[in-house]
Amino acid sequence: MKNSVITGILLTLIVSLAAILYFWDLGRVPNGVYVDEATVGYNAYSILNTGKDEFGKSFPVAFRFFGAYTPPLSVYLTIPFVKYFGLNAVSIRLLSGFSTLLGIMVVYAFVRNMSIYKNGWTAILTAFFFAVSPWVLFNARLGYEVTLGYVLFGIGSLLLWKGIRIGYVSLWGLFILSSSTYAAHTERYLVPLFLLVVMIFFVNKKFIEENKRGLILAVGLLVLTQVPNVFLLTTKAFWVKNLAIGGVSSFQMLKDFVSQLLTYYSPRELFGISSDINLQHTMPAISLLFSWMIIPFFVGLYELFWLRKKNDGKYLIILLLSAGVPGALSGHFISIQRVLPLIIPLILVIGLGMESLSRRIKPLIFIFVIFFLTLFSLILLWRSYFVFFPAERAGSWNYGYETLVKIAEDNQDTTYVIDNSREGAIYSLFLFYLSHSPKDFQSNFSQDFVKNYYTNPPYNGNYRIANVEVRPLIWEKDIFIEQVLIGDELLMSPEQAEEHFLKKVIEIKDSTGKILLLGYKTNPEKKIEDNKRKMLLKNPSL
Amino acid sequence: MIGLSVLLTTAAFLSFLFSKIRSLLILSGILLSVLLLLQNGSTTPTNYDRTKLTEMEKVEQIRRMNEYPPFAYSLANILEARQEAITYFKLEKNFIAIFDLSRLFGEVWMFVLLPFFIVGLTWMIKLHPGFTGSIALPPIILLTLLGHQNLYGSISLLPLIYSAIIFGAWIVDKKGDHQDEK
Repeated sequence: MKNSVITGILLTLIVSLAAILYFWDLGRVPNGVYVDEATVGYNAYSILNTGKDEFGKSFPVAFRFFGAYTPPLSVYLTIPFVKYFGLNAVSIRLLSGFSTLLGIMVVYAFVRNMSIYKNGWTAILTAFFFAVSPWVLFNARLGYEVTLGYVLFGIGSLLLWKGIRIGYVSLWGLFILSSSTYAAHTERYLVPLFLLVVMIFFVNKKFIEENKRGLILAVGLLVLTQVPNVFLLTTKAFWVKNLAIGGVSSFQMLKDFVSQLLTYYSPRELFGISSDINLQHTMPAISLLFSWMIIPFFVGLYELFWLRKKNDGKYLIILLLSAGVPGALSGHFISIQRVLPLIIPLILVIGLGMESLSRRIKPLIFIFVIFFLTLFSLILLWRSYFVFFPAERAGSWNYGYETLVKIAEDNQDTTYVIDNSREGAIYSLFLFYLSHSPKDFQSNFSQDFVKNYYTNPPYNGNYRIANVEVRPLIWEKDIFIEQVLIGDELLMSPEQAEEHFLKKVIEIKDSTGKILLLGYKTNPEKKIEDNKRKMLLKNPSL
Repeated sequence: MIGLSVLLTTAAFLSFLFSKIRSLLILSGILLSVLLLLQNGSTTPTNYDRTKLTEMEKVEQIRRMNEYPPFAYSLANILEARQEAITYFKLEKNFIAIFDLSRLFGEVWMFVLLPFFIVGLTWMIKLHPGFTGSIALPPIILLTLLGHQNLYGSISLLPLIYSAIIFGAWIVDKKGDHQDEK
């Protein structure tokens, strides 16, 4: 009784601390809105107001977005937040934060329900270090589908295990696992693989005989809940993500798979420098998991090796090994967001290691070490996420576009041409920040386009939204029209600007002073005059 | 020279693992020391001196110190400029970089051997914890101190890796025989 009260208090404290970490200053850090977040938010807004996505498709089973056909659950679950808090950075990120709070309970419940953990305190400790891990915090504060996906997978696999260990099929577990395939791409591939491996290792003749009714219901449930995915299987929309591995030899595919798998599971990747070159996926000066966790991780792996024949150990090994496979199969470059389902099994292994170490170290010393590591970890986390991250990764998170939209809104008579030749998806930021009328935007697309929605019609990121044109610059034309040309630092050199009589009118920098966006006002009169003068010089007879 | 050293050291480790003759411990120690000397000779050591940071490191240090909010300037000074912090972060980076699976097992044929390595190392730790610790820790400590700017890679770790792979294969084979006997 006394223990459960203390446990309850500690869990409440952990969840409260996590809630502060996940929701504090959510609109400012990350200090921009990434295109993937903007599109989730805008499509939720569009569904809320019109019942159709940005392209005019009624309640899609996969959202086309920028051509990725993303599973739809996160968009639908974002709708209530957009309805009550409006279309802004906070409302689109809340779902991930709440999902991660649930994730803490999943980790706690896993440890409590697995007999391989002997000490009651391990569950609290593991849940705590899950809650404050850099990788977990980072994904708890972003506004797209990946976080929901891995948490649903965690809940489903926990419930499934709770059933299997006492000899029955958890229909709730299967239902949530099946639902997770509608949350993110990774789970769409991971869940069938995971269920297959679990079946091979845990479903034997005795289990089938004792669960005939349950198994029939389970098959029925899976078939029923997978109808939308089966429908998608017959369209191009399901296969767009698979194209990444096409066009190479089998040996090359094997090499890529091996190399990616090793990278994702490499302690260097998890506790040191990440190989993911997309700066939007990581934060500066900190690893995915705290570097000191490498020690309990190794100890945990050692313990797990000897527990491999126990059902709990076997299940944890299956979770750990299957979680990285879809990511390793998905292409030629490293993207740590494809292996997010690894977080929970990794933390469970680290928890196992911490418990093993606690048995070998004097309690007082162990408590002191844990206290010191907690303090040290929280300082490093604050330093990386709340100090360095907004300053150093502003550009990767599209910082500056909110200001740009404000400028465009305040100057309705001016046309702004935004160069999208290096980032085709930025139109979504204008739709998002302007809360642009979904009906108006949907009018860009024909009935034919909507009819062929799942056949992956060609992607086009060029649109006119109010007084903003998002498209690549056409130099021969654009400098002869009175407007403001906007792009990043590579848009043009100062010499080019001078040559074409362009006047710098917008300069948006991040907090480190790095220029992110530049805007040049054209001067068509002077340019035409200059062209005439040059032609006369070339051909005086004119 | 390096190849021969790795080979001889691996042979010495394996001889001890299979025969448990104590004199082989001394031979293993001597051969590992030679390899550690070679590792030391072929590595450009990490610079820990805060007064001798590279231009890039200096720029990053100043930029990051300026990113802190005013109330945390003293913390910025401790975490970004103190010699102890600079040494800690560099040691941490060197330590973690040792465990780079894609560098150690990146080739397809090495990947196939990874399960044997895991089995072998785990059994080595269980059966010979002292021996395993004494052949693993010196290279780990040396590489943590020196860093990874070297000509031949982490050569001092290779005998441990090869020994664990062979020992693991032997354990698997032995288990297979045991199953057959059953």
